[in-house]
Amino acid sequence: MILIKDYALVALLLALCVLSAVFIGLLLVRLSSSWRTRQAKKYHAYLKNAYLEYTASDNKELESSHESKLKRAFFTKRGVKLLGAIINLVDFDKQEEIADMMKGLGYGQFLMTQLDDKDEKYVTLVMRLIGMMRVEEAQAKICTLLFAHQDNLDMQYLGLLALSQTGAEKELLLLSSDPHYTSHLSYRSLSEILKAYSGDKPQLYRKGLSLANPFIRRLVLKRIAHEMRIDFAEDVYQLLHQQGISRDERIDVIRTLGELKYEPAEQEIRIATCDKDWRIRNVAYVALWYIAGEKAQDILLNGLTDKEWWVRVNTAKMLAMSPQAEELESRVEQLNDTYAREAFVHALRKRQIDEEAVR
Amino acid sequence: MSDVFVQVIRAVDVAALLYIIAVDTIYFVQLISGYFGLKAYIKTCQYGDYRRFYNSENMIPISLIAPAYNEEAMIVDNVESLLALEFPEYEIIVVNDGSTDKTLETLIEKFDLIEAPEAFKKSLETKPVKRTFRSLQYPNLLVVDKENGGKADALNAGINASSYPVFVSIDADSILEKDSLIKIIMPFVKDSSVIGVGGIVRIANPDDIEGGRIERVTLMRNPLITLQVVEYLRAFLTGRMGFDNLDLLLIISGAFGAFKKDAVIEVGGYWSDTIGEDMELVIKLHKHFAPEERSYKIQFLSDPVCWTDAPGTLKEFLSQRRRWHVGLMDSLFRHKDMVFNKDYGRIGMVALPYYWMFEFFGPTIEVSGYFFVLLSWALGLINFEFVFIFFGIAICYGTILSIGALILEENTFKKYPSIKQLAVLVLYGFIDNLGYRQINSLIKVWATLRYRKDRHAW
Repeated sequence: MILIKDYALVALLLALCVLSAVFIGLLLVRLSSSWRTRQAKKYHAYLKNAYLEYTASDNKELESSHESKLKRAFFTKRGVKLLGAIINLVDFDKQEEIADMMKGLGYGQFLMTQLDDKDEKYVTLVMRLIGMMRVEEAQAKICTLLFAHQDNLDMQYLGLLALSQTGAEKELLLLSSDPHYTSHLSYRSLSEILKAYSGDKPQLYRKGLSLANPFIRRLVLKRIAHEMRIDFAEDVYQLLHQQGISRDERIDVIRTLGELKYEPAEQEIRIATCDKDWRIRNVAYVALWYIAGEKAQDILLNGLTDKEWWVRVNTAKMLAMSPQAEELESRVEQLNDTYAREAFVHALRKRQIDEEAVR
Repeated sequence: MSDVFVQVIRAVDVAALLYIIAVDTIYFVQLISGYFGLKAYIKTCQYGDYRRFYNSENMIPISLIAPAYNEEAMIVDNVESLLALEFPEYEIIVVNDGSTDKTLETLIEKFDLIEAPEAFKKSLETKPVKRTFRSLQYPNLLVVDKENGGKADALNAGINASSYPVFVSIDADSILEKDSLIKIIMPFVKDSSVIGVGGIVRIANPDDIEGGRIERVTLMRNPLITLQVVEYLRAFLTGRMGFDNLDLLLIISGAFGAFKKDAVIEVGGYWSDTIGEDMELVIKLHKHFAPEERSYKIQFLSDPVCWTDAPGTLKEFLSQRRRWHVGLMDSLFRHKDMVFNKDYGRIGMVALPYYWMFEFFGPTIEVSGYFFVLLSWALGLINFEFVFIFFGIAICYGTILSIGALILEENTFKKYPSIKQLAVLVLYGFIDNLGYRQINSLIKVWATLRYRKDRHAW
């Protein structure tokens, strides 16, 4: 029994020691982190005060006291990380002003020296800041780094974004023409990259449409449609007649022409509604509605009886948008097609509910 | 006593000791891997620019699917909290899974619902959908009323009704932090090979919830709940994060997970015949995509937070843990052909054998070990030093792991801000191994023994 008691005592003492040690350890972690937090808050305050002065002054200049504080706080590796964290906290539109202010202090040049760091994640952050500050001198270095780190997805994205923000047309086209880079990034990331381009966008799009990489051509098509660049309609239309165009690209071309409401393409799109591939019929009916509207009602009614579910549903949605949609109901009845009627009634009902909800 | 009997008992004791060392060492490896994973993730957050996508047309619109069964009391608060989320474009699909209370009537009344027939493709087989409703107040709210078929069936019906390419499954009684959605969706935006992302689930104190939001983080007085707080930290920050860092992730919590719709439809959706549909889906995704050598990723993120409530009574706790273990067994049995099958890479060669050995058989071996060691000591077959070493190792190692998880939390997210909370968590991290862990193992053994009988019991 004495033995057991001894063991229990030892165990209890050990447990108390471990508990105390852990708690003290955690307190130390907390103390060090609260010191870091206090310092970060101090630097944040420097930045905020300098920013307020910068935006208030007409000539966008800073007092020398602010300058020296900012240089002391942010011209270090830790300062770069801190700036990255602070930038994440401020509104998106203020980020650019802060970036401009820091660039005025020569921060761009400092960031360029940081691109040589060995820590890939840190370099990625530096690229992000370079993009925000539009440091054009860094373009070549970023391009080299992107070639060297082909498997780092975050670096690829932020590096290409930085190139786009700095208007590096040549580098962007060079990297975009290589399917290896673009295949890593998602369509949405690439679209965001193109959206951020600060150079001559029409020229970039025009060159992008002639690149060998179909992924980029399709991306440019979608950006053209989204930005409603009517001035590109003729270029897009030419693609429709191009030899060897892939199905996916053809779909994008038809969709874009529809969204741009490019009337000269109506005839080709009418023909496309009879294509044997339902995906092409699907976009063709929608595009035709945008281009010809009420005039194309008869053809769209054919779409309601299509054998593919998606074609029927999307055609019904288009027809339901018509101002005289209610009057179309009797014509749909005459089709004697249960599925066509159901699809149309559903689309009509949904439109009515949406209108009711808006009211 | 015969020599053979004594030798067998001693061998069992030594085997139990070795097992305890092995399992805790694996947990320790998870802790270390979790540390590196978290460190990398925090660095990534420094340059992550999700705000750029916030108002961009390039953000992926999402469908939030919340299955509801007899949630009359809480459903309005929960839907309101989902409607208040910050995300550019999303729809909420509440699937009323044949509730027998007034869940549907409450929704109709509160959200001004009107019957609105929806045309959607039935990509997954489900119990019949009776009606669909749209809200006149909130155009992004859709309610699907269907016959009862269980949570998995309700999720499948929600997937059928969803309009967007990514869906997020969420428990109707969970609360998301305001930027959780955008954080969990970013991996899909950045990388088209991502098919599933899980977020972290934390335990909330209901008093901290105001207007469907977590206003502060406090610990509850109920010791059972505080023990679960420590357990969740250990499970998510070391277990999930550790496995994610090693590409061995097998579970995305059903309370908060995002999936690419096409991929889920491709594998046939959730399996309706199990109560562990979340784990089964992830294994099925691995099973489908790994041999095809298609590039795919399933990730865990430790930052997008979903707050949930934990069982506060022993009875509720027992029922929840039994369900979890039955769900685990369902998934393991259904995909036993993947174990040690190199076609499935690390999942087949490491993750699944680990789950069989340490999550399925583990509790039985552990409980048997406790029993045999104490029996042997009582019979005088082993000395007290062995008993001391056995329990000492089990408790010390367990404490290191719990405290390790707390250190990870303290070093990164610091959700529990006061020193008092920290002290309470350290204390619970210690007592976690003095009974709680053992009770958990006992429940799992009980669930294993009653598996055939209770498989479908909720």
